[in-house]
Amino acid sequence: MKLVAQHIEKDQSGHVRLVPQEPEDIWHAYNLIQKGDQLTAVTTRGVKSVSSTGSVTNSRVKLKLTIAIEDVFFDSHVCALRINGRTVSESEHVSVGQYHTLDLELNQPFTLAKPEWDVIALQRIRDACDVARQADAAAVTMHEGLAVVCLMTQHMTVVRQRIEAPIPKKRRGSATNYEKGVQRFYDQVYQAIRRHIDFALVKVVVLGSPGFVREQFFEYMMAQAVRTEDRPIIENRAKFLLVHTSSGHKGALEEVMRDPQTRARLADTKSAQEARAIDAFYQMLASDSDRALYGYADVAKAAEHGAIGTLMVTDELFRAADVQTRKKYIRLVEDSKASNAELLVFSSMHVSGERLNQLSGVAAILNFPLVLDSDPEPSDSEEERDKE
Amino acid sequence: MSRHRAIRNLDINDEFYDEGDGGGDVYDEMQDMTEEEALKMQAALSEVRAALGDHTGIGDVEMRETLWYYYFDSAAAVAWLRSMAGAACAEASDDAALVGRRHRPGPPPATRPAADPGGAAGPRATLAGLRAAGAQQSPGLGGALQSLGTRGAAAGGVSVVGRALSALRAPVVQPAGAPASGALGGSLLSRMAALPRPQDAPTAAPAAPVARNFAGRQVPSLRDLAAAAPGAGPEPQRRAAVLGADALGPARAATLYAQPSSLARFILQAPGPAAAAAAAAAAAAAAAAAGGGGGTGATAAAAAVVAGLRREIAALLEACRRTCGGPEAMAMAAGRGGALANANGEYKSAGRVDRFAFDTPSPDDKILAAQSAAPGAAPSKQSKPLPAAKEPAPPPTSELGRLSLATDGSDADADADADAAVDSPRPPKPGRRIDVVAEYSKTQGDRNQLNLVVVGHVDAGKSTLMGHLLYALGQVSDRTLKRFERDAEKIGKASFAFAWVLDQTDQERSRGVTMDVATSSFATPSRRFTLLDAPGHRDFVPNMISGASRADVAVLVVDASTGEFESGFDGNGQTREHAVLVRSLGVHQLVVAVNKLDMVAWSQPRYDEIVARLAAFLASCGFRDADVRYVPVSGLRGTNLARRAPADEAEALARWYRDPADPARPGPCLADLLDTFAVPERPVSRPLRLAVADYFKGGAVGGANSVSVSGRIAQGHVQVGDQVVLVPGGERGVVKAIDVDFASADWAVAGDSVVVMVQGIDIQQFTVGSVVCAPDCPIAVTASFEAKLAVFDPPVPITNGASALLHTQSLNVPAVIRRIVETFDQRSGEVLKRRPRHIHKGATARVEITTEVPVCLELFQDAKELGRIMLRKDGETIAAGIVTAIRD
Repeated sequence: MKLVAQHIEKDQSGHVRLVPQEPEDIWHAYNLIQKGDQLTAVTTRGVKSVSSTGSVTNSRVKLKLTIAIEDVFFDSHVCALRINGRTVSESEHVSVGQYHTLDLELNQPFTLAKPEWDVIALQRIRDACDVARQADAAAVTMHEGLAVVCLMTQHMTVVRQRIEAPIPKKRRGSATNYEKGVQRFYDQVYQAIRRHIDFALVKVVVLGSPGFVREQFFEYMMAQAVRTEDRPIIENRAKFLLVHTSSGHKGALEEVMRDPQTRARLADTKSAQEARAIDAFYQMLASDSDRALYGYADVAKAAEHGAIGTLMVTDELFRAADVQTRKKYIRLVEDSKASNAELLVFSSMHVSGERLNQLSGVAAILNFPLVLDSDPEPSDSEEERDKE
Repeated sequence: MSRHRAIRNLDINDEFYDEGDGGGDVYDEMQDMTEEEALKMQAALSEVRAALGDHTGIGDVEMRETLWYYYFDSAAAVAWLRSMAGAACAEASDDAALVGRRHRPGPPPATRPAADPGGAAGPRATLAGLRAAGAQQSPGLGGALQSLGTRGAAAGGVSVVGRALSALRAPVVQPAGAPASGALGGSLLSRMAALPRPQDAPTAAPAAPVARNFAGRQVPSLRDLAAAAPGAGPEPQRRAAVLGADALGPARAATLYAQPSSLARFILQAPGPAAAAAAAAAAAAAAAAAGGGGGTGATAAAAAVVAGLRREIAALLEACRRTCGGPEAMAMAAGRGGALANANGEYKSAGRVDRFAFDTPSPDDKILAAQSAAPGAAPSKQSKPLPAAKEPAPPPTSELGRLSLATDGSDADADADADAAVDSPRPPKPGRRIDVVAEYSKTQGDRNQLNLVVVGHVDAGKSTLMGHLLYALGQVSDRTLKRFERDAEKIGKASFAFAWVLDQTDQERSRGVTMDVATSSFATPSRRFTLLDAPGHRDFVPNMISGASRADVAVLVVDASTGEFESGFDGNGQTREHAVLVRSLGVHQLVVAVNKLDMVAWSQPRYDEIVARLAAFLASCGFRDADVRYVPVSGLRGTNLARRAPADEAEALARWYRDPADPARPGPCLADLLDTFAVPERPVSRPLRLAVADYFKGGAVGGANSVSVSGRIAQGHVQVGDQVVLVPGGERGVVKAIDVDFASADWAVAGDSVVVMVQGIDIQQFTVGSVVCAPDCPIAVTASFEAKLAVFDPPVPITNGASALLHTQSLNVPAVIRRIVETFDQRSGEVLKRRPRHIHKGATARVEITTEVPVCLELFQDAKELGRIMLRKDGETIAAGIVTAIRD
């Protein structure tokens, strides 16, 4: 993301002008843009004009519109962002108050005006504009009959393809059906890797599986690549990393991130950091359950006591449509920052972020044990979250 | 333009007048009858009726026509009609007499051909007329004959007719020149036309003039025909029969045997000039055999002409049937008859010019109609019941009809039916249903089937032990084993030969590790076992769960050799995990095989130590002491597997391992212990549940669109022909075949390990974890449910929102513990804490679980097997549970 202009007043209101440059920037934009903000961008609109004689002409005009945002929709698979709202700027084609849906496009600048730019939003802009790029990685988790091909960038893990192939089990007297099924499955995975992984961008490809599937598949893939002279695969042989996982489900990416080999290769990536943090949380919960808390009510109390050592929050909470909820969490972040706590905003697009999401979205490792005497009845907001 | 259209567009009147008025129309004449004549007709008709009585079954129309012909000379008419209904043979051989009689009255003389010898060929001309009518739209009769001849079975019949015609060459050609010939043909044809047509008796009359007309026009064609048809007399008939026989294919031998004899006898009886009539009669008789006058129009006409012959022919055929041994010959005759009827139908429809040209029943319909008309002769459909119909009908007519359908290869409809039977699932036939529950309770004493899972730490020797046991029990041939030994040695794994019995994939063999559950079967003296050899490696625990969830009893194999038992039992070894899992999956009875004890010289202290440690652990898992038995074995050597180890084989063992009941004998062997497993009660009468452990295309019975499903029937029963429903999806199919323990069966009940072949459900609909259910009571599908969990020893506590893999039956899906409702005391059920933040190891809790995709589950109280769940995380089993409530 490129920051073109930034005008933020002392009361934290103001606007910034940004240019998204790659798909991940759209994700950042999604995290910035909230209901109630105003967005200005160039867009096209179908305009219907009625002449004096009553004939109607339809035309598409390109125009610059400012809308007051009412709804934001993000499609993670294609990294597309659609923002819906009422126009607030006067235009010769669109009157004020008419609905319009903007599509954010790569390399098209947009201006976002917020009534209040909070720490999280400002941090997001800094993250998004950080030019020191981390390695992109790809991961394929697989077990017999299931493979998930993922691309991992700094802030996102996107499942590019999920392959489910029925593999008949070995039967008494014959294993040919099984072997045929396995070959078919491997071929599908191989084709998916060729299709989805751009070796120019990806620094490492992790193959994770239980048993011997990864070795067997790797052998198969290299043999196929040599046979068909598949240069990209042959040349990037060294980028493949074989890692043990307990299953082929997407959740196994956690195990991938925990693996020492992967850590060495992806040390400073955000996803690795997050995975480490959430593991630390669980370890703390196992060893000293009074030093690991989760859920807004508990964590807020800990923040009051200034006990928080590491605060983990998912970005999903800051995207909440409800301003009050958002403010509540921002206050929590600011409070804990005041007590020198380490802040980790988990990307809900990563597996560890998903995990934290399920764990109410906020968790904390405390500097000292805190026995909460209150009844652990969940707060209302938690109940609501559960219902969702 | 199609020929049918041409015929329809034909202007009958034009055709008629083009011919000139040489051809007076009998029908018209009758129409133009004066009042006086009509009165005469009435009187004469009643006279004739009285004279003939009712035995001939001659219709009024024919009587009227005959009377008109003889101009109300009732005596002559009666004589003619009698002769017709009587011995056609005599009639045919007595042409002259006939001629005399026929042409005596001849009113009005001008329209009658004078003393025309051709007239003698009355019946033949009928045939000829038909033939000619048939050829109307053909370039020539020869061509027509040819085209008809191409039809396999039809050729026989056509040739007979064709050659019969050729025998008539001279008489027919003669009148051709005479302008009055039309009248003759017409009069005869009108008689013919007045003969019953099963479909449209009323239209017979209007059709008559046209037919006659054609007869007049087609004389040159007849000449062609005569030229085209070579030879005459008995020889062609024989050939025709042989031809027909050839066309019949499978029934050829029978045909050759039956046909010549009957035809030969025929020909002997009707020699010389009568051969033609005989041939026609043969054709008619064949059709009659197919369905008692079932061949339509043409056959009926011919049959009428040779009515007198019919009885005799039928009798001959009857005789021939007897000599040929019944059904087969009958089938042959019927097939031929059917074919003939088809041929007739075809050639008739080509010549027909009435409005039925387009809705003519298909050959099939004709045969079917003939079948239905056959036994009772359905007189209502035929204005002139054929004499043959009065004969005792061939007893197995309907069967014949069916056979003839089957033999007639050109019968597309029948084929289509057969196809439909294969393609579309049909509801099971009533009456074939088996009361499985009753059957089962009848044979309960014999039903001793158990599903045995073999579990234990990796390399404990599970596969080798069971492979050796199978070998010792004779399930594996020496030759196979020799081959395994040789091949295993080749890759430097000689000790794995026995394991190869169960480890069948190349991977498993080359790595020496079981990866997936191998299924086999064996029997001990009083039990039949379905053996499920589970993998021991920790990465393959999901497969092991799939196997164990199908098991009733288990063998836990432990490695007794120094250090190995400890590594499998302590820490992360699978001995513990497997024991816990099988117990959680509902296995109560366990045999612990202390394997490789020969490695420590059958040391009793070692054995006792292992037994002591395991006993304590297994008790903590929930196994009752009485249900756990121990046996020292050596899987590799085969000691103490299928038979008690004799003292000379393992001296050290024999010293201390004695039968507790009889110290003089060595202690019980593995097979002895397996043989005394108790067989649990099976929930046979509950609705069917078969969890899909594996599925594949095709199966034992074949059929590209069927899917074979393997698994264990958790409850209920199934039989071939049952409708089943696949959940999730709800698609319905029909069970086509069932294999129980690798042998085909008609039905199977709960507890049986089966391969069920289902038709009607696309293979895409199946997944591992689907459940095949009884259609009226499908299993619940849910993504959210409540469960009671027993938490094992997870590395990290279970929190709200903790993710794990949910295992149920053979399925594993990502799941989230959405909410921990409460923890409670396992024994008292007393709630310890409501809404705890996390569950520590060893606790029991009630939780709400959601799964990534909906799964098939049942309340534990309703179906134990399908109400059990396992939770695993990062390759470790963290909890086992039972489903207590299903949401949405």
